[in-house]
Amino acid sequence: MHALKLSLFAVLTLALSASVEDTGVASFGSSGNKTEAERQLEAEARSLNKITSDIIVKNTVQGALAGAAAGCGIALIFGGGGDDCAKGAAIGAVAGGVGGNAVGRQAAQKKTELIQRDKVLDNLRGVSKRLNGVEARLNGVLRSQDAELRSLRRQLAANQVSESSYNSRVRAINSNRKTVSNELLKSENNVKKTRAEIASARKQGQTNLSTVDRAAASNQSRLARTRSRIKLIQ
Amino acid sequence: MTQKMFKIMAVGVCGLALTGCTGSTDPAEAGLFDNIKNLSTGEYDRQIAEKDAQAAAIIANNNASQARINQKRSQSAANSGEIQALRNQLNKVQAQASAARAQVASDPVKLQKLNALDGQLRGIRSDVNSGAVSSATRSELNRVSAAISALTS
Repeated sequence: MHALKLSLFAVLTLALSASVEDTGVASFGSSGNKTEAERQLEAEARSLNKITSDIIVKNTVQGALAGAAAGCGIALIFGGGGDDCAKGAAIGAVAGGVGGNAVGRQAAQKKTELIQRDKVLDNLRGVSKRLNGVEARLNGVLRSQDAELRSLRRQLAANQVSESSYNSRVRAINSNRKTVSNELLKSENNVKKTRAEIASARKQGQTNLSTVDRAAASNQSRLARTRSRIKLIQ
Repeated sequence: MTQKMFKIMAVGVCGLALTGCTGSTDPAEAGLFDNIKNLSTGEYDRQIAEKDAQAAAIIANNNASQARINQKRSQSAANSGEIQALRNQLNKVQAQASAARAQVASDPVKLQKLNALDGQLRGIRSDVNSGAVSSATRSELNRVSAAISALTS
């Protein structure tokens, strides 16, 4: 009973601490001269950051639940009724003699692992899918910006545009690129943290996480690859 | 011993328990006795293998993205309709420049300016031909056209 109280306390404490949100808002740049496509790209990069943040929050909560697995806590939290743990022990004693409690605990732990694994995989799939859209938009925006810059440089050389208006547009493009790059970096770091949590869970004995980690690693390197394509204009 | 216990419990537990055994194989819904049953029948292991395939699909999608990027790099920044419209406008401005050449032939300063504008048009044509155009390209063509008009007015 004492172990159960401690477990529930740990769950509540960690769940509350996990509810603190990262605002994820870039603190620089002005959207003054940005195009609609550039603003949409920034919004998509921010939403990607939000999805990757969610992986961490969920993992934190579930990590707390895994931590509460000692004793019968896990059976109480994830099982049907409040006295499932006691029932498991009692029925175990009837059906198979000693060890019913251990079987119930093992089954409940497996269930927790499955739920956690599914949620993390769902999120990783969401990140990968969302990256398809971000990459497609990024391609279009970068190509358009590069074409625009070539045109503006010719016009600047021919005194058809002022240096200040050229500089203003270059600043807006750089601001857009910095914002998107930073958001991608945040997502990359979020996935990195998720992988650290996966590693921690594996150390604590949770099994079947190697494929999940490989999928997370794949997302992480794709985020880095996408980010590396964004260059600032000198 | 543990395996034997699972089997005994899987058969016995659902029969004995009046509550907590819904027959659900969804780990999010399964009760304690469902868990024991799902574990002993290998249902949860089957689900793990199924999800492993999903993880592989994530990796495949990420790997395929590089191929998509390489393919899109060779594509133009604008659609074919925009490019055709720019090409038409470019041809008109080019014709304007050719007509202006005869008018400014005797004025070396104006001729030099026209040559510079001609060079700018070559730059625009190169971009249009490679599909590397943006909203700035049309403005640029308008400015070149206005500059040619100013030379001959």
